[in-house]
Amino acid sequence: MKRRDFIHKLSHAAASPFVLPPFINDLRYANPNSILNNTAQRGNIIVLVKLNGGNDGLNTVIPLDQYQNLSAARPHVILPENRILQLGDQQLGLHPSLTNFKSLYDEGRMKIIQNVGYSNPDFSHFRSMDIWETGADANQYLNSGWMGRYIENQHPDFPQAFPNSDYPHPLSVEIGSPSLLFTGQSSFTSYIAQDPQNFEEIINEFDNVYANDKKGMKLDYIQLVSKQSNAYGRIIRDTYRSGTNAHGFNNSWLGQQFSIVSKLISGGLNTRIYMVELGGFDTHDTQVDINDHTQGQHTELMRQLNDTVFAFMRNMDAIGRSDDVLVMTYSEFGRTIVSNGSRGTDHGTAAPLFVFGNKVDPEILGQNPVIPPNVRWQDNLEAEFDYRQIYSSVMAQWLNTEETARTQVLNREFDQVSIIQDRYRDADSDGVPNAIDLEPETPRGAVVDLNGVQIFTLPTNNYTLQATNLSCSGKTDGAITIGVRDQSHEYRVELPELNQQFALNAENNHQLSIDELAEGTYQLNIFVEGQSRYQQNFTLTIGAPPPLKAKTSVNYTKQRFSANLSGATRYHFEVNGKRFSTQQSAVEFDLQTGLNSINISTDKECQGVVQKEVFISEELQFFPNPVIEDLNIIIPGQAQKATLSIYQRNGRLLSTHQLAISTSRMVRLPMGDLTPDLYLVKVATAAVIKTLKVQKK
Amino acid sequence: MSNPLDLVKEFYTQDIDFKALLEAKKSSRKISNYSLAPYTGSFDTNEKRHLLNRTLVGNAKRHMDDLDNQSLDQALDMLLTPEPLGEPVNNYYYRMNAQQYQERYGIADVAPGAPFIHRPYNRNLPPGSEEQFGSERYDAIVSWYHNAIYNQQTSINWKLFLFLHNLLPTRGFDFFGHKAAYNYTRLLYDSCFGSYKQLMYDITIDSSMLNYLNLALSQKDTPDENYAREVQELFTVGKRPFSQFSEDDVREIARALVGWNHDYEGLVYDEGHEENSHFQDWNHDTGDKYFSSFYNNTVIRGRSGQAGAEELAEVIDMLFETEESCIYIARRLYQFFVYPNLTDQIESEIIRPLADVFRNSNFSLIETLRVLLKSEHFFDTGNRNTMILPPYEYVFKLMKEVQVLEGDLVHWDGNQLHDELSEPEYFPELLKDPLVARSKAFQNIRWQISQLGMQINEPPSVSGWPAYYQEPVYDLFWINSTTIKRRKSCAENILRWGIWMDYDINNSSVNLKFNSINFLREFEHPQNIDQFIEELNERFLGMDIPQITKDRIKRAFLGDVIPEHWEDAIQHILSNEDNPYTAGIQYRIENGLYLYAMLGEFHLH
Repeated sequence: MKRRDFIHKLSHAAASPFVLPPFINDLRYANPNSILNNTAQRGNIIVLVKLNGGNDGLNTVIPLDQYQNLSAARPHVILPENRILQLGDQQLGLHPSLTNFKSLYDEGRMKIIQNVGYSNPDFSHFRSMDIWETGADANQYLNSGWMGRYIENQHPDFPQAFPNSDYPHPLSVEIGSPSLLFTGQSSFTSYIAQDPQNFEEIINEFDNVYANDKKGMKLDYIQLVSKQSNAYGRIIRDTYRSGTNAHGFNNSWLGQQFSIVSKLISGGLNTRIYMVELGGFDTHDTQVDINDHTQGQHTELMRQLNDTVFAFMRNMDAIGRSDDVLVMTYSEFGRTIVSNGSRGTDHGTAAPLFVFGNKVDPEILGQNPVIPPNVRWQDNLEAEFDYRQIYSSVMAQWLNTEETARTQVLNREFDQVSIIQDRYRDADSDGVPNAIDLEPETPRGAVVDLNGVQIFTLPTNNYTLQATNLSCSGKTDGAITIGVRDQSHEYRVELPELNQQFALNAENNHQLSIDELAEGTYQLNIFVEGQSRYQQNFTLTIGAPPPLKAKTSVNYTKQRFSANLSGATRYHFEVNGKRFSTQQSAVEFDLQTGLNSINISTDKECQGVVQKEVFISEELQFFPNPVIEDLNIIIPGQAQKATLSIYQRNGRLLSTHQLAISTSRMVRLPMGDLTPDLYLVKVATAAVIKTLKVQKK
Repeated sequence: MSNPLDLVKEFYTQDIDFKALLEAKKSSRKISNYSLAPYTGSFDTNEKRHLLNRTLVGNAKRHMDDLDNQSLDQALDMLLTPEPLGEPVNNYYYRMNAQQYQERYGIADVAPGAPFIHRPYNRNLPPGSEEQFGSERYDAIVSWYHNAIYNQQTSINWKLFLFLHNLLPTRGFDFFGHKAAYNYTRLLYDSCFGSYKQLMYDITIDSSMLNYLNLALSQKDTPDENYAREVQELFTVGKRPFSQFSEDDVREIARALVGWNHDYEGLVYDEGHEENSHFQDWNHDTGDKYFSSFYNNTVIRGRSGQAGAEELAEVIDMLFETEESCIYIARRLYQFFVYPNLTDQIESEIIRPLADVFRNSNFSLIETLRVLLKSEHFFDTGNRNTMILPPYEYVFKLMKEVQVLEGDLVHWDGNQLHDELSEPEYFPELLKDPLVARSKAFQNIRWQISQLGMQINEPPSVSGWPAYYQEPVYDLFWINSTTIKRRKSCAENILRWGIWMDYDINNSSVNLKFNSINFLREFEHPQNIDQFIEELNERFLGMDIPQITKDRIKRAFLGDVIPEHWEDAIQHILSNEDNPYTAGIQYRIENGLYLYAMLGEFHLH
């Protein structure tokens, strides 16, 4: 294949990462974190797609020049030649259901690498997936995954110092079950986000120090997972909830997983590494339908993969993130050249691998595999690329990992293959490609200008800001205090709402307190003297104490009142004239029969008072039982009318009666027409709900 | 606590150098005894608990009571005795009565409460389909084995079943409906006390396995290698580098075994449920099979006709003649029952001698375990409370400790509990039948356990569950950021809300909740809150916990009352006086126990 022109016509306008929006002409008014490139905020994302069971490469990417020999070798599963989707003028085609892959290829957004594997291939799922996930040689046994080692290498303090303000989000997210891939040398490095919408808080002490033994190690581990589960769980839930998918995903398991990833990214999750998985590729039998080889198990899998990856790319297009994502598939091995009599294929060796993304170098890598005319069943394909060449190249060209780190992760250096186009490579991840970056080795997190040159900035946590709320609504005793960590500069603070400026320098010890503020929202613009291009803005809100809130419920059966309180730390109760106070936010107490009056207040009068009146009815009386004609029910209390429902013993509703309650408090329910049996009579008034068991004679 | 940044701060307060810690832990092993010699120390509560933790699916008080005044030998005799297991019965009649069954499946059903597994299915419905088998009997079988585990005697039988199921997994309900899943479950359960080598023969031609690893689909010209590989790598000799079988060996075993098939027709359409797998000699490779030096260059002579079936026994003999086969099984037993991570010293001083026991006892798992579970090494304090409870153990421990299935039906309406309809003789009418109640309860429990990462008859792969085999993390696999939360909500369901059973006429949910007053009666000094917590620690955790944790649990029990009030209330409750405290105390007991279930210590055994 010819190398593409340098001026590659991108089909997606979003792929222009270094052009700033035109309205930014004065950087002074730019919020450095949102406009300029800062890798701590936004960066390259990789989504790994694990195809479990060994995907049949020869039925996925088909060498058309080998078709004759291929159809002789695998008559039970061969795809009809005229249904294979030819790639451009290549002697290579895709499985008939990979129509969207073909269009991604046509757009220059898909790369195929043929014949990926390793020497001395192992045919066990178990072992071969271990090899792929650990990054080992065939005769080498590693206990940690290459991604786990990568994350530990880049973040030597993981897990004990995470999350933190630099990395508040999980470093990697898996949607399925935990895999060896993310098992590091001393910890799991991934967060499992199976049900992102739910957050369950683990309640525990989290700073226990355990004994230095096997038991203590397990307890340390459980403690750490619980803590991270609490911290990351909230973030995952919040980003997932605020994320949206512009395009739907199919309802397959893979579709659901990709849908989660897509929502998390769109909701602002700053995780860079994701893994999803699809199982079912171990097609020893009935890989294809007997009458139509373009249908069957394998087709179903291809279809899911095709639809889901495409939907993901379209969603990323919609939120302008498709420049930032790379999707890569892998599987433990391909399958045998020869098919077996059960219309399937057995465990094989090398196979093609797909990479998707706006910035991929779309050239097809690798030669078409050669299928000899008389293939024996033990013949297999030879690997042209070691799978770790791909890992190493992805680390170098996409995750911007230096050679020493790559060598540490993979235990040696591997020859690079081109995954990302040269013109998009960006060694310092500052969003300015190497080709035009005047400072191609800017440190991580630095803010750069259009030319990739670091500009003056200070971390946001340079400032300590505190807003003190009003003591009560309507007063003006709010305050803002400001301090700075880096005291080598002179600062100026501007409050547009007050039309005032304040200095923050050695004279006031770099401490400032602005008092007598009313309730409201205040903008703080902070400048550094002598750095005309620097500005940091904050928005602070000064509020009034919240009103007292009480969520109350009454258990009429047990005659208990319970309340969930918020708004204060101390609550005062007055119940039927008796007073008590509590610091609990959940309160329960018994009620008396009759009218109960409950009054809840706090220390601050302005927070208001909650008043409740609860009527606890006396027992209903009814007679006669067994009943022949009318059932008489005495309903104490004040209600004016009652709803009476008659149920059969199996729960079926027979009839409902609305009856007025006279001053005698007795109502009559006619039951004469009913056949003799046991009935349930539900009596409901504004204050009473009771179910009576009545025997009809 | 609600602000993530506060949590970040908390992280920093725990200043641990994790790598150094792990290194230190590796080098400073706390195991002092590496001997299979019989344990001679005292056999008291802690030792009994350790033994039961590792041999039961959820240890609980009633099992501990069984070991009262027992010596170690007596305890082992009790544990290493088979436990009778009945048959699944028709507990689904409330969903589908005999007439409806007849209409739906075109075949007569058995009476409520009667065994059904022998019944034929209708051959006019699509084979292997939902239409043919339905889901009622599937649920009945699932509740059958869950119920048996809940009621298990103090016997190792069910634990050993889980060991075998993880080692020789199939997806039993695939393809054959219920009979094959039942046969597979039964085969493993009944084989716990037999010869593992015999089991290898039986499982090879069990219809679930023939189906799961494709031996039934293998064709003589293009034999399927799936079973041939796993029977070596996972079932007998283990994987490389330990075992050096070759790719050719895989192909040769595939050739030797081709021809075996199940009898779908007979199994599904005939009365009875016996396995009638047979050897189809027309589909056998009659050539000689040559094996590598790993198998001493064994040659299995090809046979024609029905004599070809004999090659299976020769393959099994060849596998078990290797030294590696016994070492592999001894290792898997050690990892399952003692501790998953191995060292060279454990390999040489425990596993190798144990492999000899296995070989010399005619491949008996029980006799091998008798030596292991009686050893000084097993009782070494460094091995106790060191493994994370697997999902089944976690859930059944909770259920058994509070005897939730012996509890009461309660009605929840939103946040409100109301019990005016709770007398079992009224509604829901059907839940009066214990068969139905158990069926309902276990449908819910099965789902909850599956949420924690395990489900009998649904293994994730032929390797079983990663927590049992995946180096170096092993049992840590059970706990991740998702399952830790699910364990929490599972405990909440069992202890606080009760197990969901059904809806009542008011559309309130009907839940089965443990009786906290009966639970209280099992303690010596429940009225003294501090002593009560000590007793709970002893019973639930078997180890001490930090004072700050005790204080928190104490607060949960007491709520806003003082210890004297607690004492007074419990005193009243235990003396059966009708009093206003009961509801408040029940609520607090649930709260306190629920906190226990979230403690790290609770997840260990």
